[in-house]
Amino acid sequence: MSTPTNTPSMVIKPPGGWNPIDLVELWRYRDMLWRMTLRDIKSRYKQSVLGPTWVIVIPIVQTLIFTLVFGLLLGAKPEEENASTYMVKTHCGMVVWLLFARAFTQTCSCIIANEALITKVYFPRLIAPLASTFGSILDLLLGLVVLVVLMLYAGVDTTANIVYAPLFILLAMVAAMSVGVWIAVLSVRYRDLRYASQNFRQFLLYLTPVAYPAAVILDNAGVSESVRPTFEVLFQLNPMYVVVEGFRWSVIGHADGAPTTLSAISVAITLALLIAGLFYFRRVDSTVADIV
Amino acid sequence: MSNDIAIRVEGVGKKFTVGELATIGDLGRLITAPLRAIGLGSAPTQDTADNGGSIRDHHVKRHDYWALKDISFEVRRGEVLGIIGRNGAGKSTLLKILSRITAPTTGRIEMFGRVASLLEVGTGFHPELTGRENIYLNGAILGMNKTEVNTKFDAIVDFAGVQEFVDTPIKRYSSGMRVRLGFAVAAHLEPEILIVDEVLAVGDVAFQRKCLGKMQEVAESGRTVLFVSHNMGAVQQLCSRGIFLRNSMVHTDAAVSDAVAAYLGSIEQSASEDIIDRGERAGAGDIRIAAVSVRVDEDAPHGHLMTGQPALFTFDLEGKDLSADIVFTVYDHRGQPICRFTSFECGVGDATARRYTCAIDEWPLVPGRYRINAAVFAGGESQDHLEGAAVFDVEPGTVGGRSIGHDANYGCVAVAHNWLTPSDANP
Repeated sequence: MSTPTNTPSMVIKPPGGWNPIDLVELWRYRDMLWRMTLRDIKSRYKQSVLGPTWVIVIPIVQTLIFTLVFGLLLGAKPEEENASTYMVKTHCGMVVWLLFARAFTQTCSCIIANEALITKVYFPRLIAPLASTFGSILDLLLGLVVLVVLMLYAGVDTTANIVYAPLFILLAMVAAMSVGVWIAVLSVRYRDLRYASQNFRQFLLYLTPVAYPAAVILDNAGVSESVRPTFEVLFQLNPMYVVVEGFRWSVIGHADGAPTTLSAISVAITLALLIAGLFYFRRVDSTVADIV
Repeated sequence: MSNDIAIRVEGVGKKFTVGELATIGDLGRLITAPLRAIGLGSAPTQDTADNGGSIRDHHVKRHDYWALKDISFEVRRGEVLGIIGRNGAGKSTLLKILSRITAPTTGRIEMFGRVASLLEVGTGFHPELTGRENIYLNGAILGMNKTEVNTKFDAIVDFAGVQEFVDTPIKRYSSGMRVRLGFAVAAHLEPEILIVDEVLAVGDVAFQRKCLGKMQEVAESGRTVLFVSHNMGAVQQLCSRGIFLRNSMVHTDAAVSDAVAAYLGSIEQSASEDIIDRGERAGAGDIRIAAVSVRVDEDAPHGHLMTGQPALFTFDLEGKDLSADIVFTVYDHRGQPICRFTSFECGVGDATARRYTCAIDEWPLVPGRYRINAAVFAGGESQDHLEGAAVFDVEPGTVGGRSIGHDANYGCVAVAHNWLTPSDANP
């Protein structure tokens, strides 16, 4: 038994005010974070014939569909570009988009999906969104392998900017969590948000230049010339715009995607949303078990 | 000296809001919730100003309910405390607060030492993962680190008796194996303060004994144990002190035998109240038990049976027209379960039945005072659960031609039997 002491090792109080994010405690629970992430990955494709191969098949199929539908059928591919180069460009965007999409979906439902845990045992509740986000890293890694193969096949070289690529990957996860933690908590009470969030994600995909440049949307949206600059600004504030264009810029030197001041503003807004979201999460996490 | 204290609970209360959680009227609040939460919100609306601004209170269909009120007690190091009370008395809420699953509304709790709480066995088990993977996962969820699990891994596998299946997905395990594995992980936590729910109510008898043994071991090693249970036998065997919760408050805090006596007394007392008025029940509530009677035959008075004579248990139901089934368990005066009766697979659960009668030809229990807990099941879920649905006395009678008197010291079941004389046995 440890030495008796007059200072309690733990105090339980009514919730109230703003609680700091307890990094020390999160660190103590790092094994749980790791095990929860593993659980997510290992259990995902169990008992399917292709098993983990699905993680690699899904992005390839997505890229093929986008290349086919937008690039070839709808003519988003510029005349001078060959199909394989266009596919590399699309896959480049798809890799980071799928990372975001999966992390976002999983984070949005992380409380409801872990109800059985949350109502039966204490753990730092932030583990739930973190494990949901980290579980998507596997998809990212395999998507990157496919990207390298595609680049070799199409003869596309990388650039020195590739050192910035991890920053855009990180930003994709931050973007997923920044909105995801809000929805995770609010959807416990308002299940409507679960469905709304999936529609939101789908809408965002079409607003993000994964398979076509943003100009295509603006050109065809019938926006008048006078308000067009405003729309362009709004477009570029979408953090996934920054991620997709920036990732492409860093990996294959796509000049249009170079970060701008607007990118910096977008990152700042995303970070602010994330930090506010994390504090909100901490504010309500001690009683979320009552209503989940 | 406060050095001896392991847990100090001061004025703890917990308020719940009952009623509809999400309504159309909430949509506006929902949209502004993020803004308000980060402090950018407008001044409180009429709505929130009326009730102090709590998100939960503003709708008229909701009302507050205090599941716990002003609970205070201290637990000394090495003490084994049992918490008892009926459904709805606040036991589970107290347990959840002590386990930090949810926060109290008022009050303060101080813990001195490493705490482990066990509300169920195998929390977080994933059916697709192997036994080995689940041991590490469950260990991590309960707060063990990898090194700790590594050193205890073999002991856990041994205790659970799943050596051959350790690399098999646990969805292939029997439910008994899963429970054993879950308890085995928890049993190797080695906390200074252990908080346990009635997890012992699961598993086969041999394993239950093993679990009780392990708990006894924990208790005897000088660690602090808080045990929440319906099983009065287990509570009296394990605990030195008992707290009886009633109507969200501490009713009795005393030696375990006194707390159990107070609990059993309250059940008998409320058994005389009109059943339909009683609040302490669990279940979905579409169907409720409205009345229960226990008698020798149709014309006999309620509350008396006789050993060896017929017995009729009658249950009147109220509520929706659903086909229902009844389960009831007979307990002795010490709170030990004796036997159970169910209407499942008897074909009586047709939609129109409002009165269920269970008939026993020869009542087999010896004289004494007994009570029953009764439950109603319909539509695949528990509808009603009533503790102390009836209390009755069994009078002396005869079984198999032998008279059975007042002596429960040698067991409480009377069985008709014959002896073979030596000449009969060896013809």
